[in-house]
Amino acid sequence: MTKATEQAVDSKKVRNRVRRIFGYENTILAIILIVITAVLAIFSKGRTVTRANIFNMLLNTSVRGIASIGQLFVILTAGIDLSVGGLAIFATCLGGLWTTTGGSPVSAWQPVNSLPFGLAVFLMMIIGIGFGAFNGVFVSRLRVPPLIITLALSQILAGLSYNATQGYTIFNLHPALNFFGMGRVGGMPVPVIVFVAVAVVAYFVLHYTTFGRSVYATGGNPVSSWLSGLNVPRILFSSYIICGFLAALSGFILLARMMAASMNAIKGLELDSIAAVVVGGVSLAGGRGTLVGVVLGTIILGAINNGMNVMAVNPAYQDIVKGVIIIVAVTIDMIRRR
Amino acid sequence: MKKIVIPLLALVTVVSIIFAGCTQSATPSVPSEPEPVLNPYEGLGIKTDGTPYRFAHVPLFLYNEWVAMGHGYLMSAFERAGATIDLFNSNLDAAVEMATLQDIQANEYDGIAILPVDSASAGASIDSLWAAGIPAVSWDYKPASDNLLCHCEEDQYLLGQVGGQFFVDYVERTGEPLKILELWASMAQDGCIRRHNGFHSVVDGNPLITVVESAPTNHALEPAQTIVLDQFSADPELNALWAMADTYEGYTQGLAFCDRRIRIGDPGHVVIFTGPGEPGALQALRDGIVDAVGSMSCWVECDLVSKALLTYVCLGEDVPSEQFVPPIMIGPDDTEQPYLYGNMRGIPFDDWPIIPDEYYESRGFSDYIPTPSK
Repeated sequence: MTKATEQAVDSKKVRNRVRRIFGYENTILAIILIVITAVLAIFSKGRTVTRANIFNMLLNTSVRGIASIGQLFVILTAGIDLSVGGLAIFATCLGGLWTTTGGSPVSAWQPVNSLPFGLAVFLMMIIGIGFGAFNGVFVSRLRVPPLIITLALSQILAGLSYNATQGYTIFNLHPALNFFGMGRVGGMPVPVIVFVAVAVVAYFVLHYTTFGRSVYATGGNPVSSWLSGLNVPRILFSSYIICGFLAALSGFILLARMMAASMNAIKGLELDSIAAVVVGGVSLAGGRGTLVGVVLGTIILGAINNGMNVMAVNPAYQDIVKGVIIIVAVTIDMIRRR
Repeated sequence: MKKIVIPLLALVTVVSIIFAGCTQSATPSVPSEPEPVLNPYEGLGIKTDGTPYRFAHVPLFLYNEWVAMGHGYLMSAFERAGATIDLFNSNLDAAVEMATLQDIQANEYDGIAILPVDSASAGASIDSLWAAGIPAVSWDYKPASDNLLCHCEEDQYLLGQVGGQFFVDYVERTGEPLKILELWASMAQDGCIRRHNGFHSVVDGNPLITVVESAPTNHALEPAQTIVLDQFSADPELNALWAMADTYEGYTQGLAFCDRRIRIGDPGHVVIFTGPGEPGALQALRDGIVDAVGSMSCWVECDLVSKALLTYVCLGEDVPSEQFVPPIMIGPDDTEQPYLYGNMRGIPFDDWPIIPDEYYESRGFSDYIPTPSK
């Protein structure tokens, strides 16, 4: 073999190695995260990479992260859930009304005496599952496009939230909530622990259960999945239930972090969750993407948000930067997939 | 699948029924003050043919306690007069606002109260309403229209100045430099921009004051918490907060998480000036967390709106075209003064007082619309 040939072979090996590295969906995301973290650390003179700030960033990411994992299940089936934000807010409002200990009822949704804490939380989750089932029935059985039914449900939930709170902010909540919003276990904020726990369970479900593999198969090719004997409507239905449950859970964490319930507590959760999923490399066409990618996508967006707050970036530029990052991440992903 | 769905729906139904049943017997606990006043509006909202005057209220959104209590005040006032008032929602959407105003015109209301989405959006529609004989009175944000009957506002530029002056007085009194986080509400709303401008007109150039501007919260709690947590954690020199709008629960939770929610007088206390005086902020004043609150009262604004409409529509008398009430600062000792909307949580609308003329005089505002009466 000549020297020139050897060099060509070596060069090809390097190229293949680079391609293989970038072929892993999550490697590129991890690199993006590292680059962003480094850039933010340089510009903020290290303030973004302190232990306290990293915990803050993860804490602020937890609500959106939980909702994003729910959104992942739906998007993997080639669906979308625009009711995530509305459902989280509705669950928050009901949780607030059911656990507040101060003042007279603001509406007929508020019992005279607050409910036992555990019951209130349980009912919040049931509400999430119930409305997830509502979406699931329309999408899986009645074949209503998910964009339409979830958008409609989002409107309904906004109306219900107003009806429930009458626009008031509900506070003086049950003190036990404080642990779930402000508590720490081993130095780690509880909302972050909940986020990690949800991610671990979701990872197990998606990668080590028949149901998880069915979700991928259904999103990848529903017709083939059906011909292969998969119960596609049931998988769709279950995915929306999971999404509804996790939306309610994110609402619970939001309630605990605010120690107040307001229909104005958070805005754009549905779009943020979709953005995290897309940045995480999940295909909106369904069937492709990983949970680790979504977690990384959520953290990337959280890190950008946090970094710009820490550096007190001119607010006018913050939205521009976030939008550009999403475009860059998605474009890189699309190029990589060719 | 039915094994899951049917029990689930049954459970949700049962729970709903239980809640519907257990919430009807609520007996509100009525705080002791202020005492309800006599009804000066009695009969004012009834036309000569015995039918009620019909009014509409079009706020920019519904999801905020401040707007909710403003609407409650309007309901209370108009219903005492015997008139009716219908609530609409622009949902922060100028196109929705325009369509709503057209519907109101088609439905021949006798007058409208409007809190517009922004200064420019509602102008043409208000001109059209005026041409159709329907007067419009705005509150808080002034629409750009020459045909507006009246605009009522606790002056937002002055509110910013009151906040700025509070911090200037603080540094002069203590000699302690302040690095203030200015927590923006909305950069797209004229009222917030005026608060910002008023604030900076006082603090800019003061050698002991530095201001760091935040990203906007858009009046939502979670961004307020996130921004405050991020910035106060990262910058230990931040020692003051100017929160221009009602996100008290959000920013104090943010301070709590980075161990900066500290009472007045204790080391590390973050000096806080906030508006507009929601129940949580008044409670925080009592608890010694917040130093001072700038009044931006939905009650005062809606009181003047109702008086303008009742005077013009029902009595046929002219009213001034503007009502800019100078804002007041509420300190820890002022939380029990009368007519603070933040103290009215839980009191039924029917028991809400009508703000008397003397109140405006006591605040040094003489050009108020007098309480109309038959």
